Amino acid sequence: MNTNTQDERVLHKRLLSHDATATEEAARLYLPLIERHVAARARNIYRINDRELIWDVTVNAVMLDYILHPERFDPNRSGLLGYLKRAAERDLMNAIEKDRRQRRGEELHADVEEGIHARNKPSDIARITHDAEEEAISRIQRERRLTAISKVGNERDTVLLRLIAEGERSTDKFAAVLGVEGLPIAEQRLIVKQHKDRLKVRLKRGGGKRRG
Amino acid sequence: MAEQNIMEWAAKRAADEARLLGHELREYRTLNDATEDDLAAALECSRDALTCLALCRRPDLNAPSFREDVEQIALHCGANAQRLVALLREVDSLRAIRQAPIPPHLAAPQPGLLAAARDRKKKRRGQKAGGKKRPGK
Repeated sequence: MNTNTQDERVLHKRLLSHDATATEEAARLYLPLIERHVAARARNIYRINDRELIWDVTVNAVMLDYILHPERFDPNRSGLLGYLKRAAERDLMNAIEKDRRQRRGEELHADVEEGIHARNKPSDIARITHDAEEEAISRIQRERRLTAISKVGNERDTVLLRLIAEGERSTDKFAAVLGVEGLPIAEQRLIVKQHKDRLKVRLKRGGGKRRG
Repeated sequence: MAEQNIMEWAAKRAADEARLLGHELREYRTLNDATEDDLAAALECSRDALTCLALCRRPDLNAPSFREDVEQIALHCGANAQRLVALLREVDSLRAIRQAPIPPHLAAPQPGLLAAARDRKKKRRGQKAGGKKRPGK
């Protein structure tokens, strides 16, 4: 039931260093514990047994408040389990308050959530700045990848890739780009599929890098 | 049983978080019109493994540790690492294409290729546009 403090610290460090599987391991470890705590509190204090609300509150506290922002938790100030329980209790109170207001048809602009956000302002600002930096870096990386992909193909491929990226399903549109719209539909489908498969192979290779 | 349910719920929520792999898995499913079973087949893993994958951190394609991270995730969750690499590249490439502005010569007002494709539905059925014309070069 109780998690070992040493293991807790090791996992926390792995989250801080963006270890690839630490997020899943932390979720598997803490979600069930916090879910039980939230369910008991919802039942005993608020007389509520709403499974989805309990799951949402639990996921907010464990995943959004901690796993994705481990830097907010200071292990020198409190134990992790206590920290997560307090976060979940706040989220539960907030969710229930919000639900009650909605039911009463009240305005939501002054809800508890705003109060909690206001108290966390410095950390929120740091998070927003950090997120903006990450977004800028990933935009530059995306542009580099796009250049790599575009180099290999011709204009027609660029349009086909764009249609694929936009989730276009209609054979019609691909056939029009390929100039085969006059062919029987079965033939159009075959040609479109061949081109889509060819382009997807390139996408899987990550752009212009061709093997063999 | 309860653990499984909250994990699945968390995996669904992970799809909204760009830093988690669940986001990429949902993107792949949307782009390929794939079911969960299709996705599991594509990654040669079980459906439980999809839940595990969704909650892992999304590996950064440009990081030197990319391969290592993917292998760690694949081993941890029981999926095919090569297939996961391919999926991540495909999703990333398509996202890059989608987010890039359309080059002016391909967009309106000149009836470029993309515009031609989009206008196709407006044309009457049976009206041929001159056989096998090859747009572009």
